[in-house]
Amino acid sequence: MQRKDRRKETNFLESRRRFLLLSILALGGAFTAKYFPSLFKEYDNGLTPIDEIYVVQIGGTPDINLDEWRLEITGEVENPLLLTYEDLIKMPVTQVVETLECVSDPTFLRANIIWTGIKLSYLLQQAKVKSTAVKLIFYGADGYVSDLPLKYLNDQMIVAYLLDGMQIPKVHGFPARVVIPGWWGYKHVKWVTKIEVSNDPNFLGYWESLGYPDVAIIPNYKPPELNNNG
Amino acid sequence: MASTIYSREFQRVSAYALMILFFIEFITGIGASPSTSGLVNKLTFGLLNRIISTEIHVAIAIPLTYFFILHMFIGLRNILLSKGINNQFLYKIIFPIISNVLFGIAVYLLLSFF
Repeated sequence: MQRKDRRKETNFLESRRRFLLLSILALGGAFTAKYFPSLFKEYDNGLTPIDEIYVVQIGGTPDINLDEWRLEITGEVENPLLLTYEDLIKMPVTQVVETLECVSDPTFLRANIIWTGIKLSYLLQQAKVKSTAVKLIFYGADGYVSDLPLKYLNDQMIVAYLLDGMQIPKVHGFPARVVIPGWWGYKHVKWVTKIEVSNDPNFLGYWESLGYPDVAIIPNYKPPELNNNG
Repeated sequence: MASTIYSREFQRVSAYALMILFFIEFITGIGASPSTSGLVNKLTFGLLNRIISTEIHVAIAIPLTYFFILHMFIGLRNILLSKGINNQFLYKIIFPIISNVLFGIAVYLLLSFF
């Protein structure tokens, strides 16, 4: 009798096995929809598509008029500079390939970018930094501030004005952004307007003063490897 | 019935799984927040720092969503049955399809924005 009843009951999609199969299909569909287009795009040249570069900032995006924008280099220098965009792009150019990573979620908030700009060391050389200097303080037009202990300065660190060969999009720091490869994203000050050379070793930027490391080197950082198209 | 998602035994298992996952998601959520991560770090004797909490919090979102949707549809079926609605086509075909479509959409959104 029992056997007869069992035969009568037919399971369709509510059977655990079929339901699980359906779930795996749904999961596969979601991953495919998300990753196949972007993987295809990334493998094109190894760069993250510009519209997929993450955005993290403390406030709104400032509107900057390029004619009025200036980059001031001041503080412990013998020759303070006030550079226009035109001045900046006439200087010797450097390209840097970087994986920009956010400290809050480096798994998802990361982007492979080619930056073009001027070496910080070159700018400081032009400004003639005094021997009393110990830190660089970067000011963004949005009020954001970060700093860099001067002893960590190297030739990979630049003030960038191009992102993947194009003018930096507004939301990523137009017209110029500080790029510190191998350091967490919060050191990459967007819309930079002032670089202050400081003799105060205790100065801390916005996130640094909230407890984030001042020496924000990403553990085991490796720059991205671009293929021939990149 | 015994080997379906509506069996009493499976309902119990999925409810417990949901409860455990929810608890972990809650704790790691507190551990991932900049202002409260110190508390979780101390309570777990340094086991859950902010980075590990964030990783677990993100990783668990998909299974949590799965069991949440499953639990929701099992519960909905129980409510409908108690109201006298005994449409087998609904429970055997429509519910499994809708729940899995919802799961797929949820996973896509999680991967894109979480």
